[in-house]
Amino acid sequence: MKVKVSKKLISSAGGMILDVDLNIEPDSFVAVTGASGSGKTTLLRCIAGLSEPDSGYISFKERVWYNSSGKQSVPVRNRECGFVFQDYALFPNMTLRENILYACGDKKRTDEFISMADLSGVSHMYPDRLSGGQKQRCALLRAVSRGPKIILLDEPFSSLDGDTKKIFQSELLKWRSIFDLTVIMVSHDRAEVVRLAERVIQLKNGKVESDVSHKSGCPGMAAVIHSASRRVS
Amino acid sequence: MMPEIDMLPFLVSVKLALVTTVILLLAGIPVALILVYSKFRGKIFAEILITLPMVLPPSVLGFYLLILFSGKYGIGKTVADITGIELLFSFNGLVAASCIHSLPYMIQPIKDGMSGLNISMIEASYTLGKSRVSTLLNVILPNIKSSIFTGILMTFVHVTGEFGVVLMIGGSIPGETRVASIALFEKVESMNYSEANVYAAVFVIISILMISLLQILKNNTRGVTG
Repeated sequence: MKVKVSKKLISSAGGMILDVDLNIEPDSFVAVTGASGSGKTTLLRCIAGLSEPDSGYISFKERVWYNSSGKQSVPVRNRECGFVFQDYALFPNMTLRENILYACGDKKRTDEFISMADLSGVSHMYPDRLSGGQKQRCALLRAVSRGPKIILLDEPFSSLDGDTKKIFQSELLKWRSIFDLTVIMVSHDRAEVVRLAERVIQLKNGKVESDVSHKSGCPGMAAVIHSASRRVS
Repeated sequence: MMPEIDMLPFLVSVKLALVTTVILLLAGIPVALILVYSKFRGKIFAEILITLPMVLPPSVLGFYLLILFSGKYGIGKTVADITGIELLFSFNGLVAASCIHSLPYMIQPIKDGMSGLNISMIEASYTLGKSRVSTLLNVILPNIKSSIFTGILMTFVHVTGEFGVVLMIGGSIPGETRVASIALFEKVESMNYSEANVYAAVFVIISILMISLLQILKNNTRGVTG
């Protein structure tokens, strides 16, 4: 995946330009970290097509999603991205199952996914009755159930406590391996991203400050998280 | 003894309110969508124009519509030339005038509902591969149901009670433009207070029923805005 974007941003510290040029390996787990207002979420939104860069180029597996010079911009709905919003963005008028079905479009697969996520017991509940952890897992499941190639996560751990965080991490790794997903995760929680991601990109004032890869990730991390989540449940 | 009441003005009022409400609902949703989610030059002017009928004295609005709808100028002449329909002193003219006069009562609640909606939900729908129409029907409208009900009821009640604009555009033709509020006025003018009393009581009952219905619908609606 090629991401080269430039966009003028207004932050609390004043104006700045998000200017990044990244090559992201397919099926990799990349974390983008940095202080608030450093351009992390805007970068994610540009990739998803929710915000338009001022200029640049975004392509995934030889398919161009955005090219400012050719005035080309693939609509959000046609990009193969799943997006997990910081505030979950679940639909309040739909139960958990209906949220997944809306994305997936197939009742049988919806029930399979819900069962795999161990959310059958709360599938009939509306979002306002779910806990924060359940909402977050539902948002993740909804995003992956559409069958995207990339999953984009915006601060997925920000409102989760220690135990639910581990369950969520375990599920993220599970869905990633099932669907061969490329994961791009934005988080200011550097400790968490270092544990999960194979590559950590640090942004500062819209520019890449550091870009560190550790190809193998943390050995056995998925197993550690999985066992922790089993202990919790 | 209960006076014998001509119910025809009530039927005209209800017919006018129903037709106007349906037209404004169908027109109000796209207009509110544009006002809330689009950026365009002159947006403030458009918002002022839509809100204007709410603050203008009905007689002022009625006067301008009288000029506009007359067969000699503007819209009235164009409509008459194309369709042969006269807007002044006809039911069609009343509907057109009511649509303009009640526009803010439908648009404002729907607009407020849409403004209060979490934008992430709409974006989430797009990232799930859904079109704008699908997002509107499955996400936006179901989550502003309570605002839509408010718009429907406010419009219906407002049209039912319209007087100034209706009188100037429609006059008082029995079975055509004589609505209940005008019939009530005529009863008072002719000092027939017993019949006026019944007309007024029906208005009070309709208003109480509508407010109760609004409360029931609001209490039973699952959504995020009210």
